[in-house]
Amino acid sequence: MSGVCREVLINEMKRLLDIISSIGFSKGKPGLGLKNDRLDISEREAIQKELSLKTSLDENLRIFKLFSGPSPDIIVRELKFGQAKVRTAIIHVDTLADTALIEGLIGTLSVDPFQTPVGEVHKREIFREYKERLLRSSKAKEAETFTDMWQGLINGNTAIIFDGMAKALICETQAHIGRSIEEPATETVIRGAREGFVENAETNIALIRKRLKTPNLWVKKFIIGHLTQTDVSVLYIKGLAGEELISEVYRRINSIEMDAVIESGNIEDMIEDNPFAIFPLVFRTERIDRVVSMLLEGRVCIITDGTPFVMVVPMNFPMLLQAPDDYYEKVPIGSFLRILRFVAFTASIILPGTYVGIITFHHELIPTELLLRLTAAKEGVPFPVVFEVFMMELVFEFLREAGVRLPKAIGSAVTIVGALVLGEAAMRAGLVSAPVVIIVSFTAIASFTVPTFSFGIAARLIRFIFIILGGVLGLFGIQFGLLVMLVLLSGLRSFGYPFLSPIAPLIISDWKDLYFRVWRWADVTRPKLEGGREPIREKRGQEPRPDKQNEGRNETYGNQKDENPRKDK
Amino acid sequence: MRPAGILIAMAIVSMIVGGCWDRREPEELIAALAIGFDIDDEGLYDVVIQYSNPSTITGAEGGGQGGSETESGGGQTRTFWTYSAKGRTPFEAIRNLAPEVTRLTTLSHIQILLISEKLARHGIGPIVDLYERNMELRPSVISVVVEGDLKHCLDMDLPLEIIPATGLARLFRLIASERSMLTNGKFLDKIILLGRPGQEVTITRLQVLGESGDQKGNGTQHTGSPSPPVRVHGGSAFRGEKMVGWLDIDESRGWNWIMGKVRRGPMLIPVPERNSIITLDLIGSKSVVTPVIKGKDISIRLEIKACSRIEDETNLDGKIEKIDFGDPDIIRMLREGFSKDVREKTEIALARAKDLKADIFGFGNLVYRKHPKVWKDWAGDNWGEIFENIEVEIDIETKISRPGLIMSPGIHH
Repeated sequence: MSGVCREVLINEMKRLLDIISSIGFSKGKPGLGLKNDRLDISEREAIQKELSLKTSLDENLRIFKLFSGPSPDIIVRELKFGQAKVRTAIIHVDTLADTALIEGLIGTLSVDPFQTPVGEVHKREIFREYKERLLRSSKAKEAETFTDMWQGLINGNTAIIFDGMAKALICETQAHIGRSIEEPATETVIRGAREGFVENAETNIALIRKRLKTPNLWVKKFIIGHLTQTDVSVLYIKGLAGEELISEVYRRINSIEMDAVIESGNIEDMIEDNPFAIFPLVFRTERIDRVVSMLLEGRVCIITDGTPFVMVVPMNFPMLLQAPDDYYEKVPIGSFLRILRFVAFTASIILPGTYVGIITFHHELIPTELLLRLTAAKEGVPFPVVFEVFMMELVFEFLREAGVRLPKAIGSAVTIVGALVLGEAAMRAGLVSAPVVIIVSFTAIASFTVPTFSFGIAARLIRFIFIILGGVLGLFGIQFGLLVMLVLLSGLRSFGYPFLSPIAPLIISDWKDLYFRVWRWADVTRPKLEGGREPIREKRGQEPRPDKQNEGRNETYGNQKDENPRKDK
Repeated sequence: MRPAGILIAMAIVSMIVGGCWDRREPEELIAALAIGFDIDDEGLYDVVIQYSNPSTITGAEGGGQGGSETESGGGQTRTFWTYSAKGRTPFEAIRNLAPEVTRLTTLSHIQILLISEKLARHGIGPIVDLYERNMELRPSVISVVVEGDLKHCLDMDLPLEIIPATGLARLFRLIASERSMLTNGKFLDKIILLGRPGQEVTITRLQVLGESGDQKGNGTQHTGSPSPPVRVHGGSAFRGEKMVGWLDIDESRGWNWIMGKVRRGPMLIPVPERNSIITLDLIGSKSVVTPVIKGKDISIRLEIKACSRIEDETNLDGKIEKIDFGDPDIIRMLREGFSKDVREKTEIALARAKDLKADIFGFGNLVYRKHPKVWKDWAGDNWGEIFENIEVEIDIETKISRPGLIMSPGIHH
């Protein structure tokens, strides 16, 4: 026992000594501290941050070896530049960089800017000469530290180091790897673009730029996560998005200090207003058209590299129930669908709870014939209604979760088992009454109409609360739950903007795009809060109507003769 | 305790205190579908309640999804059960049922309230009081006065219906009111009328037709067509809380004419010169009643407007004869016949009401509302006598509003 203790102690002391010596050592010969295998990640990073490029190529390469380790995918190619035979190294990361482009770079290095051998004085000029005259690369950056150089390398660029220069030249050689652009799986539309975001942030920005060609679409890039070093870009339309909103987004993103960003959800956790809210306070989508339309409303979008889910802030409640189709369909149909969705969403939250409440407390509310039916169906079922509904909802949640997790090929098996075994058999065995199965299935279908998946999950969670409330306190409990929910919802804020925005605070002018939508020619203003800087979107009175100039004249559409002279005018 | 804690505690307490009371699983309850009140010779109230047998509901209509196997096991099970109990008050009688019924009774789903003739003549005051005060009993129920055995009325098999109570309710709600043959209305309306000066109550009359013991037993239908066990037959006239007499079909039709409540119904116009009867189908009616006061003399002006369409012509020899309803003479003749019929029924009803000294038309109430001073000074105190001798001037305007497109019946010439 004590032997083990002593061993640990000795090890620890050795480690400390190593650290002290490595730091001391690095003063004389920088970077060599990294040789120590016992360094923890934070200690390694601290040393790495300090390292800057040296004049000697050999030393640079030696430090780099220690800097990035013996990883075989980091390729260092040494060569001699031109006839002057200046020693040069080209560094890139395999497959992240495009080999053809690197070969082009090597080609440029074979040209000699000076015929004579170069002394110390000329070496600096070589660098400049090469960069300004010979380099064939769309982007060229200088890096003075190893960290900066690494930053370039890891994005697929290539670093060129000349002997005698304490600088690296970062040249653009990115290779595009990743998924091709596909239709997003979670947000399908009947009419509308089939393109969705991909995992590559730069592609995503390009996709937005393709649809929003104004030079006023500004992008600000952050790097978050000292291990993952993930690109997080903030996009907004300069002059449309509120400056306070932009600086608030910057502030919140800047204040993030963490080691890794795996998905935009990690960032969402760090920047959302209320971590305890069940409803999402940051909008996320895979659809380009949605992001573009939200940018046009004066919102700010946050693109995280490595995920197709783009976040948009500020968010409000109606956004969660708006589907892109609403705007692409005809107005009456789009509005109908939206109202339908509001109804379905409400039903998906309170229907099971209401059923439980009414059947256990308020028999007199049920029409007589229906009550007889329900009683007959319940006859012989051994469980209380609350338990029955709760269990069935739980089973349904199991099914749904299983359906998401399982491979698609087996997914259908789950459906069959769920529908047949659980529904039919449970009913036949008299464990569950038929109306409960109907209610649960209806609720499930209703919850699928919610276009935003994250919102659907929130509804699923709240549903269980309402089942318990309905079972314990009846309709009064449902009423109470709704009230509490409303109070909580109206207290929520997304980046300072009220969550229930056009409803509470009441902004009548924004109701044109709440429960229904109006025609595009009538939708002349931006949302008051988010797009308040430039409220007018377009000119009024653009509704299609007959040509006023020619009103009253006996003109028909088929009459081509009359139309020509008018065009000439 | 911090203020937040107090707030949360207050919220929870208010939820529990104010929350809904008495959680009951549906199978613990049994819904009463019909309630009948009778009184025996000793003055004990006799209550009859009809329950449906919940387990037969799905099976009986053949659908029975899912759990039908366990439920429809015995095809011969009864679809309903009728219980009765006695008590010194109506409520005690209802509570006296409890020891015999295995489930908790809910009264809120009662479809029809039956009152026996005996109780009606004794006075419906206690029933009204019970209905006004009780939480579960709904005054909006359909009410009838039963002529005949009340228990038998709830124990019979009603053709086409699984449960007599719902069947009876449907009979009154749809069929009877559509045919304008009764003095229909909810019990609530009767309660309201009871409190009105110068107006008496009428309640529909349900006649039990003879005892047929073989119909008792199971809830399934017989193969032969048994004669219907009950029928709606006019109404009953009350004076105050006590019933004073029956109104037959013609009298209640007349009552409907005066109240402007006629909606549908056949009307026969005999045409001797054509040796036929022309059937009119009523479409609607309207009535305006105005009390006319001249000194100490009150009379009533009654304007009735009625509308009908031509249904058919029934030749007594079974022939088809050409008739042109576009002919104004024929239409005039029909209108005259129509008016005569309406006048006859109205006069019958008036005579019967005067006979019973029951102002079931609410003439007195009209005087009370339009001439409150007259009512207060002298008319109110002896309205009974005034009503007995009141003169009613009847003005009838009839219309054949839809003679139809068939000018002559479809025979080949």
